[in-house]
Amino acid sequence: MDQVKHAPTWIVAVATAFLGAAAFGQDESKRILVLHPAGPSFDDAKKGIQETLGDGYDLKGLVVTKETSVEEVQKAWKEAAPKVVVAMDNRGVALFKDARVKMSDSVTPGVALMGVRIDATIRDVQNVVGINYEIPAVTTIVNLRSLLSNPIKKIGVVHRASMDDMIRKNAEFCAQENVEIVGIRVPDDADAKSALNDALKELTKRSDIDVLLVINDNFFLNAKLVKEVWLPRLSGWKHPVVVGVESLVKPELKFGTFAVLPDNYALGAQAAGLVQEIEDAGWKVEDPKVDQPLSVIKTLNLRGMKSCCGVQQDKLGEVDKVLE
Amino acid sequence: MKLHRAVPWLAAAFLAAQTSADKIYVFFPSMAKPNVVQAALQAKLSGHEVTVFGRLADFTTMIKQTPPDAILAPKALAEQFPDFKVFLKGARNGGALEPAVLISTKPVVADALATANVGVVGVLERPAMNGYVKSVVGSQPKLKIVTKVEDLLPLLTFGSADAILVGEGQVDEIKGRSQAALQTTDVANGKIGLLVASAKGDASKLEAALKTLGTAEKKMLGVDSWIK
Repeated sequence: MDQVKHAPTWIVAVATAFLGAAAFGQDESKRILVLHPAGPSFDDAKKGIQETLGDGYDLKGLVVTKETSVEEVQKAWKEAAPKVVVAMDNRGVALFKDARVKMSDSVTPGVALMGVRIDATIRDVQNVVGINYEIPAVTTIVNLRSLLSNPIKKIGVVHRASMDDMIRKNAEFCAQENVEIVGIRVPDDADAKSALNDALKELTKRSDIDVLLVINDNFFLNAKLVKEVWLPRLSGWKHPVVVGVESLVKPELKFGTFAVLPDNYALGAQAAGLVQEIEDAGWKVEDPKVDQPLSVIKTLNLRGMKSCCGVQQDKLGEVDKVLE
Repeated sequence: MKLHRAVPWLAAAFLAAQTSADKIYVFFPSMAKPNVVQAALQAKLSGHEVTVFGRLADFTTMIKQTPPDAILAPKALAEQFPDFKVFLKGARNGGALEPAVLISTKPVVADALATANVGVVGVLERPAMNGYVKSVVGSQPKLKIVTKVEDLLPLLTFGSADAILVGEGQVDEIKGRSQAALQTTDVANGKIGLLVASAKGDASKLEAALKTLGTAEKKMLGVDSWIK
C-alpha cells in the first residue's frame, strides 16, 4: 500500500529529472547561426546542412540583405550564442567578419560558402574554413569527358589577368587528369569586346583545342557580348562549349552545349562536414582551408552536342537534365 | 438509407484497396540519376508505384511520413527499418556481400587507416556512418561523406581524402572516369552488403517482378542476380 501511495511521487521525481535533463540538453544543443540571403539556392544549402547534421543541431537563420547592419548580426549572434557561424554569400561573409571584429570574438569559428572567390575573401581571417563556389575546371571536364566519344586533351579559356591564381590552381587539378588549360589572358583594363573577340579568334583557329570553357565573369559574359562576340565567333566551331549558367545552355540559343552548376544541397552537406570537423576539434578550426565544391548539377544541350560531337548515349543517364 | 448510401463508397474503397499499386521506395546511390533509374524500374515493375530517391534524408523522411509497402536499399540502410523484412537479396557473383575496396592516388597502408581521411557515400545518417565504416575497414578513419557516387573522385583530385571506400562493383566505373594513376587496395575481410528488397507484408508479386528485371536495371541497383 505504501508503495502504491509513493509511486506517483516516484514517477513525478523521475519525470522531473527526465524533463530537467531534456531541458538541459536543449540548452546545451549545438546551435549554429546561419547568415544567408533569401532564395531557393540558399534554402537548399541550409537544408543540406540541417539534414546532414541531424536533430542534435539547432540552426538559427538570419536572412541578410544589402540593408542588414552589423548591429543586427551582432544581436542575432548574441541571442543564438552559436558554436559556429555559417556565412553564405559575400554579403553574409562580410557581415560575419565585421560582426566578429566589433564583438572582439575570434573564438567562434566560421564556415564560409556560396560567395565569389571565398578563398580570397577569407584569406588571413582566423578560425574560419570555407568552400569555394566556383566549379573547378577539372570537375567539369571529367563529367563532360565521360559523355563524349572523343578524348579531351586541351581546353581553351579566356580570362582576366586578375584570375591568374585561379587559372593556375585549375591547371594543376586538370594536369592530374591529363588535361591542359590553354588560357588567353586579358588585362583587366582591356576593352572587353575587342579583347574577347581576339582571344576567341585565336582559340577557335587552333586545331588542338577540344573544349571551350566559359568562365562566369560579367566582364566577358553579358547579354551584349554574348550577342555580339560569343555567338558569331563560335558559330560553326565544332567543339563543346561549357558554361556555368543554365540559361546559356538552351538549345535555341546555340551557345553552350554543357552546363555545370553547383549542387547547393550537396554544398550544404559538405559544409556540415566542416562543422563536424570543427566540433571534433573542440569547436575550433584546426585546419584552416578552403575546399573545392564536390558536387554539381549537369545540364546537357543534346541537340547542340550532337551537332558538334559524338555523344555516348548510354551515359546520358548520368546527366541531371538533358535538353533537346 | 444510411447503409444504402454507404455501400457504393465502401465498394469503391474496397476496389481501390484491391487495385491500388504497391508503393516501393528505392534508395541506392549510383552514377545513374534517380529519375533515370525510376523510369527504368517503373517500366519493368508495372502494377507497382516506384519512387527512387536521390537523397537519403528524403528517403528516410518519406518512409516515416507516407510508409511504402516495400523498400529497395543497401542492406545497412534497410536494417534501420525493422518493420520491413528482407524477402530478396541482391547479389553479385553469387553473393549478397561484395569485397570492400579502397581507391587512392598513393598506396594505402591498412594500419594507418585510423589517421586517414576516407571518402564514402552516405548510406546512413552521419553518426551511424562511423560505425558502418569501422565495421567494414576494421578501424575508424576520419570520414568525408558525400551524397553521390560521382562526388567520390573529386575527393581524391582535390586531396580532400586519402582514399575512397567503395564496393568492388563500383571500382571500374569510378576508375573509368579518371585518367589519374589510381590504385586499388582490397580491404582485408572487408565486405559491403549489397541492395536488399524488404517489405511489410506479402511481397510475392514484387518478388516475381524484381526477378524479371533485365541486366541494365539490375546494374543500376548494383546487382547481377537475386538470392533468397
